[in-house]
Amino acid sequence: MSTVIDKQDRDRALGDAFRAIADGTPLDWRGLETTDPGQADVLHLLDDIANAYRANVDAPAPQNSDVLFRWGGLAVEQRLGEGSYGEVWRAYDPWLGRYVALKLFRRASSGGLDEARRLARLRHRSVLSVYGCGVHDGRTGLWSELIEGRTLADTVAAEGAFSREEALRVGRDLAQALAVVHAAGLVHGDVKAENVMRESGGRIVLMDFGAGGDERLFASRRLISATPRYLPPEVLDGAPLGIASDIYALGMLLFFLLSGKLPYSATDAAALREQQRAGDRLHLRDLRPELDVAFCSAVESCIADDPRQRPPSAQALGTQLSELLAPPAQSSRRMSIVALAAAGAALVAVAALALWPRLAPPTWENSVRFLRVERAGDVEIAANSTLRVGDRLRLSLRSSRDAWVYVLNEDAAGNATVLFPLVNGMQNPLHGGAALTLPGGADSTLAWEVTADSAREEFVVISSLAPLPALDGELAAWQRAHAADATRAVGAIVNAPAVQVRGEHLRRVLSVLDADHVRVWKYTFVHAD
Amino acid sequence: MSVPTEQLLRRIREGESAARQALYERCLPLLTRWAHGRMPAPARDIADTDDLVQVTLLRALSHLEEFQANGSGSFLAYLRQILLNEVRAELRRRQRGVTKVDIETQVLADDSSSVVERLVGHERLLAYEKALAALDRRDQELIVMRLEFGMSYNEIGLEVDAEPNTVRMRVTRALKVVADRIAAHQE
Repeated sequence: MSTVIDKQDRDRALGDAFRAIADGTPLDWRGLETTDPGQADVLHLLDDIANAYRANVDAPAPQNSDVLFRWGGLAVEQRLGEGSYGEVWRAYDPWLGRYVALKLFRRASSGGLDEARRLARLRHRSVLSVYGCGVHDGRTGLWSELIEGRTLADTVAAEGAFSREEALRVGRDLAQALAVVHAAGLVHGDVKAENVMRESGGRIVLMDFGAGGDERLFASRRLISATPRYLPPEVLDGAPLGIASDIYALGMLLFFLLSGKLPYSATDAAALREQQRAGDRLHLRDLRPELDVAFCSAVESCIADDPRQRPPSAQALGTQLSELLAPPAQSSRRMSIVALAAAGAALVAVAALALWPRLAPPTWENSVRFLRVERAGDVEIAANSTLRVGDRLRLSLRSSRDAWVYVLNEDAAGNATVLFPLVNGMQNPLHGGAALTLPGGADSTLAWEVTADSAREEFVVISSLAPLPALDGELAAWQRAHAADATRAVGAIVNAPAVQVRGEHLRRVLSVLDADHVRVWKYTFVHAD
Repeated sequence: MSVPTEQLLRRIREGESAARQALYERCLPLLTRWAHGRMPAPARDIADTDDLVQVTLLRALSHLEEFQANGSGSFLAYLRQILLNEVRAELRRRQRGVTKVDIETQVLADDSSSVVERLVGHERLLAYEKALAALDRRDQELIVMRLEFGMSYNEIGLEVDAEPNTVRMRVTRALKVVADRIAAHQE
């Protein structure tokens, strides 16, 4: 069902990386960050150490004739751009022995300098390295590393929307960058496509902390200078910028990278707030229907109107995006409750439903229906309806008597999972009478999510009037599904001949069910192509 | 660099002044370059740094018995440690001297930082230094000679009496060890 990164590949990649640092040759960061993100940080540090010492002898000084003016100890050579705060220049720092980007503010001000000093202590490969800040000749300036590349806004304009993997990498890197910024007690305050550079070589760099500041200061100053279209409702209503608004802006940025558009068309704050209130916006699932639900869900959760619905931290978001980026491993299966078929964009799932009417008391009435979670509510999945990767499914169970219910799953690779009962949640026996919704109940948001992990999935639903200790014993060694919150979908369920369960685990389970007070329903989902 | 440092040291102890001069000339450029990366900003004047390196080196060569008493190991790594101590002492002196800040002229970045610290970041450099200090002496020396002094595998090979390919392998292995140490500290 999944591609597990081979340990030998990982060791080989790490060995190559250490050799490259020793030799002073370029590293394959992209591959490394995918195969071993934990080690990548340490390798970056060692590489930076080596490069920092190397920089002392490699730096070429500029010719005097190229110098336009001097600011402090910097030799300023070329104007790179202009913004609302001032101008950005290319300059040479003889002490660091390298070219830097010098941002000269329009007027001298000591405000924000303390903050810049703190920024100067921040180091992360996706945060612009600020080398210093000062006042010379009546002008306040800040100098930082010089990035050769282009902004994400320019990249989208030139090349169109990003692929899933590209956007995930950018999202992961920026979330990790924001985590470092937030950990230092700062907020960025203006995360947007124009403020992120992609360096030639692929490195993503978050720049321009002009609108940001100390989180505590913002609470009192309520200073807003960020771009309105990236601002969340609470900030437009007067709340200070903070961690939640940075996460919202990052969600907006990801939305933009994936679609080339922002969810709201309004550009001024008042009209934007109106659109936010009315829910008058584009949805990522409509613009990129082939995207997996988990990624769509992650982006959409970032731009939730209610800040409490957003990821609790940039760190948590970074972890979520890293997991989506990594090749699906065994452990990822536990994140989504159910994994169904398919590699293709238009998954066609064939579900064969066969009821095994075993001997049961005549007074015990049982029924089972699969439901698909839709915006308007849960809808029964009819024969020949369409399913896609990302569908969220529930099971409606009606039993006239209290029952012990199990929902089990096995994929083509033989991975068996107990989908119900969950580790935490409704437990057996379930009360008879009213219809019950599994896995979490009618009021729960829990559902089983269709993901693209395996070529075939088999399900067995077991309902019993009495405890099944033999079954419990059998299931003790199985992995347990954990609750996951996901979203949407599409594909096909059609009637098929009576199911023959092929999964070894399920067959063994069925073999222990010899009681006459048990009913079993079997389902198989396979993708047609 | 054709004669190993170890050999030069032996000849110095035997009283050969030419060996002392040869070792001085060998170490000076390496240490000067290193010091330029590690001196704090207020002491970054090139003449100051060069003076500090020269004096440190001369004193070290005059007190070789201290090096011997310190155990074996690379003379270069020994010198690096002495210089690092000097840098820290310089930093303390500067910090004691600060009484007033003129915002119009003061460079407001953290002035106590060195070039390497500015480029790498204070916390990260600290993590590296801690991990390096926890390594065994041989691994420390290999990393210092390769990463910090920028010596070639040939040059390191002369110091440690090994073939360049072997040195490369050992440096790579030492980097893996220091990486594990850094990761362990971060967890």
